[in-house]
Amino acid sequence: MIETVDAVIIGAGPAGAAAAASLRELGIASVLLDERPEAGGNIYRGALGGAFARSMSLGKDYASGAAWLREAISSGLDVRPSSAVSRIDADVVSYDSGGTIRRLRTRHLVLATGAIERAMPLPGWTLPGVMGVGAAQLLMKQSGLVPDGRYVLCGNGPLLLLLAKQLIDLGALPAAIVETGRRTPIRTAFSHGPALLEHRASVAKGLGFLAAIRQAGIPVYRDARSIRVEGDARVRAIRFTSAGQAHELAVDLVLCHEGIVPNIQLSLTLGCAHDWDDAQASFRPRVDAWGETSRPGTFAIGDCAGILGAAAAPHSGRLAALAIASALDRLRPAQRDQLASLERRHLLSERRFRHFLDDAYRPALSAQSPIADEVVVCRCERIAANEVRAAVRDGARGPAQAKVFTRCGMGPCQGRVCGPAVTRIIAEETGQSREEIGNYHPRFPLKPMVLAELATAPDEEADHADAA
Amino acid sequence: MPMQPECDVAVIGGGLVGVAIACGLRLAGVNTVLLDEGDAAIRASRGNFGLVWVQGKGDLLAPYTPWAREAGRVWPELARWLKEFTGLDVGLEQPGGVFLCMTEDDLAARAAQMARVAEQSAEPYEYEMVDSRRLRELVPQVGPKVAGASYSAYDGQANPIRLFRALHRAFVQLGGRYAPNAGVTAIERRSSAYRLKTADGEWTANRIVLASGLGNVGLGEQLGISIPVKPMRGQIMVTERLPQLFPLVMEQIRQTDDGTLLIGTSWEDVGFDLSTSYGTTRRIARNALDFVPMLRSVSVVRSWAALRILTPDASPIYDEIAPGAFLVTCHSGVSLAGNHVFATARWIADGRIPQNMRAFSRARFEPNHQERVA
Repeated sequence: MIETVDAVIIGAGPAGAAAAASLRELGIASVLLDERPEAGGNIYRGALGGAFARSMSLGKDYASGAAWLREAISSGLDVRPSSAVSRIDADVVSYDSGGTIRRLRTRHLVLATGAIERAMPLPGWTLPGVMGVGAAQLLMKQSGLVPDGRYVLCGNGPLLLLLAKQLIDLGALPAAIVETGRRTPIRTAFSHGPALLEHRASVAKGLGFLAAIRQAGIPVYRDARSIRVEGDARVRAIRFTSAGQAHELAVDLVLCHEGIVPNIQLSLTLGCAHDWDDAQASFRPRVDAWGETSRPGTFAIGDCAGILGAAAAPHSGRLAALAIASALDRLRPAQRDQLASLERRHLLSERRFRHFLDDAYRPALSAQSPIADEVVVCRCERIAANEVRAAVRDGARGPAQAKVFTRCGMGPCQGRVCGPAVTRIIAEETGQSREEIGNYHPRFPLKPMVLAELATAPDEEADHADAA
Repeated sequence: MPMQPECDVAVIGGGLVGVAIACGLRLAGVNTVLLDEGDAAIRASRGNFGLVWVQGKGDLLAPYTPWAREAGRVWPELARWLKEFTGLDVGLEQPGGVFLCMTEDDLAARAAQMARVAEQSAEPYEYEMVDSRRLRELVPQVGPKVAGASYSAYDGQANPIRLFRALHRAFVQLGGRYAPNAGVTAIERRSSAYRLKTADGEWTANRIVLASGLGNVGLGEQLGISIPVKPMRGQIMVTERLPQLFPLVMEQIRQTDDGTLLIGTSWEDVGFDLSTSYGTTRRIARNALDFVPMLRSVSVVRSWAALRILTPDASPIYDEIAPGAFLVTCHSGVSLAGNHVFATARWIADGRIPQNMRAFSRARFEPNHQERVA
């Protein structure tokens, strides 16, 4: 018999953990799967046993969030780390656990797969020595690693500023910040006045980041354009223009960032409907007021349903939990709606602040200026932008045909990285909207899996091989 | 009102079959438009295995045997032409192929089938049934559990997605008009021409080619003709890239010229369900390791399902089903590509069906059909 549970939650970040904790409070058992060895997601990576798990060095938000997460998952939840979902067939979730496939049957599936960094395909971005700001921050949270040598932060967004502040505090100062996008902070701030007033603590925090960068004397190059990373075997320098002047900085490491986008690989694979979100320049699954997707019984919560941040994530998790409890007759609709209204108030408030952030930090380089012809967009298969353009000339009008024509998106990441860039190139070349063009259709297994493991998968009705 | 462009032939369906015929029509100088669906179309051409396969074909319809052999013979010409004309190497190689049989029973059944095909064939038909030991001389990577195989020097493989693209490129370079997002929703016969309603405007054509795979069923209904094809799902897994491994082509596991392995396959009568399944994935993986045990720790990066377009005798249909309306359907768009570009397109261009295509009419499925092959 396949193990059957009321709900399976995929992703043990703040949204998933809150959903599981909330379900438990409502008397519903769920299983919380996470592909990493520890719960916490990206935002609270290392919260359980990482380098800064019980330190204030990364700031108050990380410390208190980490403490909340430890509390949430130690309250008797069935958390299964190192459990990567390999496929989902109707109501059965298969996942890899230490080289063995295990299975769970459920009527309620909750996707809490978080966000990934937006790819920033600029010339030279595939050189060793270029990495994401978020990736660098994960190394710091998990293992206490900070950049060695001369490095720059390149791009824009709250996470970039936060990492700058954290690294300044840890004494690993960046050589410069190369900022993309033309911001008019004062005008942007004006139009979001009420939201900023409501979130003045967050505003103060952000201003604190800027002050720290100023005090540390770190040069900030604004509205940088024509950015190129130079080097042969690895990064040697970064070149760009700013305020009409050309610059070249000799560096060992370039940390790029232009925001994060929902990790929609699973919702795409499941065939959920997705919408293009222009303000966030990304696709997100279409969800109702409870977080339920177009696939009945499947919910998307937290940042994988649209970027709202860690503070919002638990509220969307609890909303999904309330809907599931009601569907299981553990909660009367009136109770559910009453409990939901509080969560919704928080979400609305977070959404107002997010509108400001979206406005203030538009991805400039990775969403607006055309990707140079020779720049590799699909890293797995090494397909350059001009090859995608040639596919359009040969008749491709969408990612599926472009994939078949060029192999872009056919590698191990299945287009997780290049999907947005490929959709964008096709949009620019054909004049169709991104909504019309859509996305790749990723396939199972979502991450590579060896044949021996697939071959020794349990019998269709057994939950693991030994029982077969 | 959208304007109504005139064209001599409208090919309906931009998959491998449609684009091959459209190319052939342009080579013959025919004014041709290729009407295709959008990006999300169900498209066997994106999911196929890429074998250029001859052995065993014609089991249920004898004339298919010489047709398949002819296709194997003209393939090199097609590959050469595409390379010269489009710059794309479609990766043809024809080193011979083996059809692996796991058990002695499988091997005996295969031997009987091959004998039938050889016996029906008017020209000499060369193949060999090989036992486990001989098989491992041919392909040393095959595992000891495998009982044997049928071997034929006729078989080979190509890169199906590059073929698909090369044909698209060739068609446009030959001056053909490609209309994407123009899936045909209605066909109307008007005196001597056809009027086609598409998702993107209307077209009129003197002649039409139904090359829409499973979509032909609906198009045939518009003309009052039933077309006996149904979907047969096949699931395929693809691995990470590896160095070139095998000296021959195998029907069950094939290595592309890009280095990935394609592992198949299944025959599932499940309608239009394009999902992969847990049980079949598991079975395919198990079989693959029995066939080639050294693949144990090779990573599968993706799996997919595609729908074969299957007739009751697993053979193509080539038929003028109404005056000026040509039906082309098969489930071997890669193997038969050369025939489609050259012979089949010529038939549509000049309207005279060549002798070697006459046996493929739709009439063979009618209950009282005289020439029905026993």
